[in-house]
Amino acid sequence: MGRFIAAFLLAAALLLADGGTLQLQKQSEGLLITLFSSPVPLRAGTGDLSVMVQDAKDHSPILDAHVLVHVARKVNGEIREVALPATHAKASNKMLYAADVPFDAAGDWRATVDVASNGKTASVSGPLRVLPKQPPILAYWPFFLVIPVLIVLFTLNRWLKRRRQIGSAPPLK
Amino acid sequence: MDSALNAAALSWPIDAPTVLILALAALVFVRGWMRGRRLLRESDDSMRLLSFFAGLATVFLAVDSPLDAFDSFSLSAHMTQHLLLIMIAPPLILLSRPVLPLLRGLPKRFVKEGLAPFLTWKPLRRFLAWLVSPVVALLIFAGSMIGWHLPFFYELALSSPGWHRLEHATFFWANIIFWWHVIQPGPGKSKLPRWTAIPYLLAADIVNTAVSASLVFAGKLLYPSYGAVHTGSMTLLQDQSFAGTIMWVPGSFIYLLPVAAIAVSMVSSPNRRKARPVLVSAAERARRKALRFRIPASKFPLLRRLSQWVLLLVAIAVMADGFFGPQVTAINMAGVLPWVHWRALSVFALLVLGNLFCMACPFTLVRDIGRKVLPAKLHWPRRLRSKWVAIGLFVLYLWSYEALGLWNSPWLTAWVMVGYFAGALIIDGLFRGASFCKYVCPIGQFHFVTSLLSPREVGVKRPSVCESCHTHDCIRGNEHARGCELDLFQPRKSGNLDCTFCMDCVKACPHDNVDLISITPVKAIAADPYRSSIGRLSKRSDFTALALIVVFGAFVNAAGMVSPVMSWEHDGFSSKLMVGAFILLGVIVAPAIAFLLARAANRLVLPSRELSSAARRFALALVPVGIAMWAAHLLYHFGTGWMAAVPVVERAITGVVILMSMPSVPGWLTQAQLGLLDAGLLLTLYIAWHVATQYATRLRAALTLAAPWTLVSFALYAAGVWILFQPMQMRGLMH
Repeated sequence: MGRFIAAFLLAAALLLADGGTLQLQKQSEGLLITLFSSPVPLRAGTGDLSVMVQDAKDHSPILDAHVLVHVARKVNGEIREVALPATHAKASNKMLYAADVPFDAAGDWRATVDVASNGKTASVSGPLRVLPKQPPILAYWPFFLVIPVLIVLFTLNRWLKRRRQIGSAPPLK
Repeated sequence: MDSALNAAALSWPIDAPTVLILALAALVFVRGWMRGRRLLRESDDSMRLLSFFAGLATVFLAVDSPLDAFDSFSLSAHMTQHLLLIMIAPPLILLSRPVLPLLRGLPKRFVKEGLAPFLTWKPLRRFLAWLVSPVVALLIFAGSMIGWHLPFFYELALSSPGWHRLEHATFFWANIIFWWHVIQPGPGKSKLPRWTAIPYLLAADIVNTAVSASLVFAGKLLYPSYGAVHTGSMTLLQDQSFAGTIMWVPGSFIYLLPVAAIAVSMVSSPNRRKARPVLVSAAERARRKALRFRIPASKFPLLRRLSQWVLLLVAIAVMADGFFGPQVTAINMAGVLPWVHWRALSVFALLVLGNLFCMACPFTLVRDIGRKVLPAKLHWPRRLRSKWVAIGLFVLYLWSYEALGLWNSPWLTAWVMVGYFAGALIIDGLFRGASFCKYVCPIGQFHFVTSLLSPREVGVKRPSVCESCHTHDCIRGNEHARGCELDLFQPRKSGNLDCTFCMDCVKACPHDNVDLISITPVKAIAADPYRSSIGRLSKRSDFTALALIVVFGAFVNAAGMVSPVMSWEHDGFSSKLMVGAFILLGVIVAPAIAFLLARAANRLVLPSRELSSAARRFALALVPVGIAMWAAHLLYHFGTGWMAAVPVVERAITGVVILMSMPSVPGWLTQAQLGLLDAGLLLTLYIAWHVATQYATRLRAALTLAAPWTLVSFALYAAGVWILFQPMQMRGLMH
């Protein structure tokens, strides 16, 4: 049990809410670059890649950088790549730079983040695991669950009303 | 301002469903609060309103503000969020004594029929009383407070948005339960003495102190996630200690303040009782009701004329652009405004307010002008006094929309509009009344069917006034206004069918007794009263066919824009024929088979003489799921392309294409579409059940009767879900 909890905490340490999963964190040219992905876990379709750029020395966020996100995967021996600028406008947390990236298939991808700031350019890269698209019925389960739940509540409602009517009926002579 | 602070201040991760829920809660509370003010003498309760709004604002601040954007980077931000959800929002909401205003704010019928059986159910009442009893509430409070702050569960919440939402929901609801005993918002009074709240609050403060102190004095990082990313000037441990302090100091203050207040109140006024609110008289209620802001009915005709002129000018501009502008859909007004905006907005207006487009119809304005020179003396042929011509035109529209690519051709769109103006002018120029609207216009028929779900209708305010009226100006007209051109006699009019909201009856009524009134939307389908100029819908095959074609047309029209169907239609030898075959199958053959099979299945329960009338009524019950599909489909176009109006109008005015709209699908869209489809299915099931109970009194017979129609509704729902999950073609955009 203890081992399980320790393993869980270690895995959870690599996860963050809202910003998404922490995919890679590397230092380059005096910049600390962290890449997050969402949804959690990352699946085929449109994914959000968010980048945090910090000064490696004091961890202060750098907000005036130019950030480019590349994702690539091998298809039949050829490398297919998508490159998109990541911006504050796309991010809900304005300390991050975000881009909506189309992952056209599940599998092993490679993500590269290029950052240009104050004359410095840095590039970090790492693997990205993209899971197959979730069946819509699982992705939107609350919308399908609400129907049987409301039908059950309606049935209960009718039963209660019927019981009340029987209860309030005058006794038979 | 520091740029990081500036970035933080701009980070508002607005979550549409949360905002919608908070807005709905606010709306229902305000409605109920205003009703309470009208009914009760005690009306000085502005503080209740303020308190409820402050509570909702606190929830918004906790879950949709920069606090939420930064809760995964800073434990202090996260603890502030928890503080708001645990200690601020719940007591503020309960201080507003929200139960009665919320119940008063909901539709009366829903409260009486839907909620009352639950609210008066003794086991449920006992369970709720047990839930808010001090020991149980304190245990729930402590369990949620300690449980979620244990590293295992805290990390679980950080690891997934779903768990994170559950954590916040637990905090909020556990503390609604906790604060109930302290505030006692009613209705009803606790049997326990008031002093019991003092040890109760002290116990809560001890729990809060223990949790806070464990953060302040831990000496090591309790939640490893915060070690992965670190920002700002504080070290991770300082951040953790600060988070604990936030919980501890203001938290203790919040628990101890009511302790002091209760102690003082017990000492100062032990027997003081609050005066019970007294109901106001009927005359006073009417006076207060009259003070509500509303547009007087006498202004409706003027508003109608004004809106008709506005739409006429827009229509002229659209036609001109369609004929003479660039034949590129995305930069032409005729390629964007009718298909992306007008269709969606008219359906939403129908569902929220009423038949506003027919009210503002520019075609009838031209017809009215034309009638000054045209005779309009003939009577519409008796054989054509039904919906069959309009049904044929509606099917033709569904076919031409896809086969001729109406949506993709500004030129053809402009021609359709010209055809409409000409049709309205010629038909109503030759024939009496509003024959075009009643028997020909396919858009009008679509609106009539959709308006069965509208919450408003033009109706009689006081039926007793009509009983003593002998002039019947609402249908015959007088020197000031013409009567109803669609032959709807107000005292016998029921629902919105065939009503164009022209307001002629409002203007003509000498007793000022016709107005825009609120109705229960499903009632118009669930009941089958005699309707003026229509009769009973259970006797009208043309209305059944119209309803089925509108319902099945929704799915066929939406399916025509998804990849699998498009490739099937266009990969064959002739796309026009294939589209024709698809429309024929989907709009005529499929509903006919479904109708006949379900009708045949009803033989198990019903005698032959009742089969047709029951089947017609069940067919009408399908309207909600069909209209929901139309709304979901049109919402897709509107949600993805509403901004396309800006560059199109800019181009039409300046002649220069300044900005092209790029396709993008908002994150909330699929959820909203599924929500609409769910609502449509549930309404359909409810109406089908209601109709079944009118034909069969025994439960088993009613279930057997409704079963085949329930299957049809579920099949339609499944088709709708399948369509919504397919890759869809956008309209009016560059892609």
